[in-house]
Amino acid sequence: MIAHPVYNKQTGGGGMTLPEIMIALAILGIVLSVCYGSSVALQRGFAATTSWADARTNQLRVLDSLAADLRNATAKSFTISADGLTNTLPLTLTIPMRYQPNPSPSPAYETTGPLAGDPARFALRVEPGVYPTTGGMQYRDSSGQQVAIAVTYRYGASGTKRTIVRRIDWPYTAAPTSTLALSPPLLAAANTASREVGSFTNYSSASLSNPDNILKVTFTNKDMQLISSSDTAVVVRMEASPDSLHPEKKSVLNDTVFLREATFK
Amino acid sequence: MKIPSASQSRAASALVAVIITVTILALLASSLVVNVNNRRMTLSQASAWQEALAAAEAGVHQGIAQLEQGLAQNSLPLAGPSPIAWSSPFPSGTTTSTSTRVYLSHAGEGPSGASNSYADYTLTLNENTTQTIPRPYYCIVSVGTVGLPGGKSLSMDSADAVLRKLNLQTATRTATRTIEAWVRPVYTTQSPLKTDQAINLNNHNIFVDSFNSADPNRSVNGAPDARDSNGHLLTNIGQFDAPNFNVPLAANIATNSPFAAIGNASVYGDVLTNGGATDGSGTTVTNISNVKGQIINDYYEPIDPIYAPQWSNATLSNSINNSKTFTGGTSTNPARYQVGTVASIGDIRLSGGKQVKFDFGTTGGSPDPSKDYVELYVTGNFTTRGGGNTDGSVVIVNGVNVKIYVAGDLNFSGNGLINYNNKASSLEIYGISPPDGTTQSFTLAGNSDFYGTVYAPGADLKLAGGGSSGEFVGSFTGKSAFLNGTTQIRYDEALAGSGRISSFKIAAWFEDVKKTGTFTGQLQF
Repeated sequence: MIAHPVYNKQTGGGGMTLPEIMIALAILGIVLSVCYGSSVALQRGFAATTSWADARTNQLRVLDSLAADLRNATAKSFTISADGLTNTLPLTLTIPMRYQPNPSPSPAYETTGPLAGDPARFALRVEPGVYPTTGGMQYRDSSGQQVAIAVTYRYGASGTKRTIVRRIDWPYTAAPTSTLALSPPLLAAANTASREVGSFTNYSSASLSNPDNILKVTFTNKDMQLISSSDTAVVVRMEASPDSLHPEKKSVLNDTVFLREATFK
Repeated sequence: MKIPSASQSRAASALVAVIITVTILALLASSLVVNVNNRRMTLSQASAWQEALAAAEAGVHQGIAQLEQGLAQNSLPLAGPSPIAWSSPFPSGTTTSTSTRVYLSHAGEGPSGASNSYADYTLTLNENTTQTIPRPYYCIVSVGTVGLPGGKSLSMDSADAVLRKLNLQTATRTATRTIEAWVRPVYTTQSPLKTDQAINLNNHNIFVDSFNSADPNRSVNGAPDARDSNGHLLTNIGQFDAPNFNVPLAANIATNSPFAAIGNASVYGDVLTNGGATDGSGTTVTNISNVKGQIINDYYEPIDPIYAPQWSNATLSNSINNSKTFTGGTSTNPARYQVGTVASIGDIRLSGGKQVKFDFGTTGGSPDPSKDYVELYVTGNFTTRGGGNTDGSVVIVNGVNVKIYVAGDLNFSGNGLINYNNKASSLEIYGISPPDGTTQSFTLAGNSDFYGTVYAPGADLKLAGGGSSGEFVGSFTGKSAFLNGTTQIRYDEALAGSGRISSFKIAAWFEDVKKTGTFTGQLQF
């Protein structure tokens, strides 16, 4: 016996009419276009969120790094911005040199790698002494000279990214009787090390030479004026443009840093 | 024979499609969750890292507070150079390498409870001798620790790990930060004039300058000038008389208030106020044309109170209004006298040639130069009204060192006090801080030169020179200050470091970012 497939006459007998197919295709097109649009929007939203999160993370890290160095600094030297209203990068800080090489030929600070600028793994401490005339603390090398490092923050570029670079130079020495306050142009130091502390994607067509386009770091005193030698705190403001479609929308972080070491009298 | 079913085939295809779709969606969702969670963890870790700094600073502040407590209890720690462990009441010399732990309240993410945020700190004493005076410097190393919230998670950017150096390896994940702070002593004699409230220099003839009794090039036999027996000026040496010493101006007058009326007096140093204004309608620092230094408006230094001596070996007496001699003991065992008690207050009131004299103690009936320290506690007022024809009513024999504590008012007028040492460091007068709401006044007036230091943080201080020689050589601290006449304050720079330690001041602050070990807390030169 030959088995024949059994067809349902009612369903199998008649195909879809042209209007049915057209309506189905239209609905399918609408659904697909909505899905596509949603997918693209989702991707953009995800990318934007990621960019904002990355920018905020980088801003926070740069602020934290700046704050830690500002607190330790005995002297500061800011650049004045083009409009003359605020201070900006590059920023040079004088920080007492609290570490010394161990063993002697090795540097006191890491010179390369991700830890560049941090105290070397086996570095020894430099313990302070008292300057008799003022009763203040000083940090000196074995020859009795005051010894300090220069920490410089400046804008940098890496590929299509704007970066913030922390560079240290050491050692700088001065007689115990002098004020050791470093400012550009710095004399060449025996050692140098630098690393990126923040990286920000350039979403616009503007040149990396225009730092304000991607990232803007400004410093003011509490009254939003230029910082003077008598100020005891610095307001750090960092603006980034993480949104590729809306670079005018800024991610802004502020931090007020008390200049601890610089304000002791 | 099994016949394939078209409907079964379509159902299987749909199942596969659904599984694939769900898988893709799940992957997308998990990617999103991982991404978001990673960033959230980075922010949480950054927050904990910031909190660790607050904890470390809390440890430093706790160390300073315990030093201040030691000052109040007159039992500063003497041990060193090992770190000093503390307990209450204040010990003075227990050394151990154990640090003290301070717990802080913690809210928000991470393990709750006090144990999640704390600081471990050590105190180490270093004595530094300058100007022949050993000065206690303390090193406070404080490590703040805060537990990290959530699971073990590193930031996607290694720069975060480099900066924050979080501890993710142990069962208890933490953020730690280390602060090393140095504090130095502030003495009661570190400036010519210091007050909590307003300073009023009420005459343009007033001047405040400095000299150095320990420097033969900046003093005349230890004095700011030399005079003949009639009081006529023979040699000038102070900055007012001969200002070109090529030394920094050191006669700084300071107030913790915004108010300083300088009265065009000559000040050979800075005028320091707390928020004082020199221009505009709200001027609080006035008539400053003869201030040789700067006007500084961000000054504040607490002026610590003086508490009544708690002597068990003092010689007690009732009120005194007749001549009396107080004889000295040795420097390690000074002779102590107390007039009155807290329950029965005693005054010293002298007039009509009556004289209180501070003299050497005796050995075998003869004056003994080694017995040259006298301490006197007056529970009430100490006043003179002059009247002596040759000597003042209070006389300090040359070579004798005197400390006077006064709980009430003090008034030395006329030829009220003569200090034959002609050296300010030989006389220390302390005003015991009165109860809140009680006024206290310290008045020094007359023609004679005053050599000594006054530290009366609760007293309204009045220095009133008379004639042409109202010279006050030393250092003066009060609640407020009023100077008039031809008053001259001549600050002896050699005083800095003598007297009492009134407080401790941070001299250095450093965050140690090296993760292995800590600073030793020892001075090196």
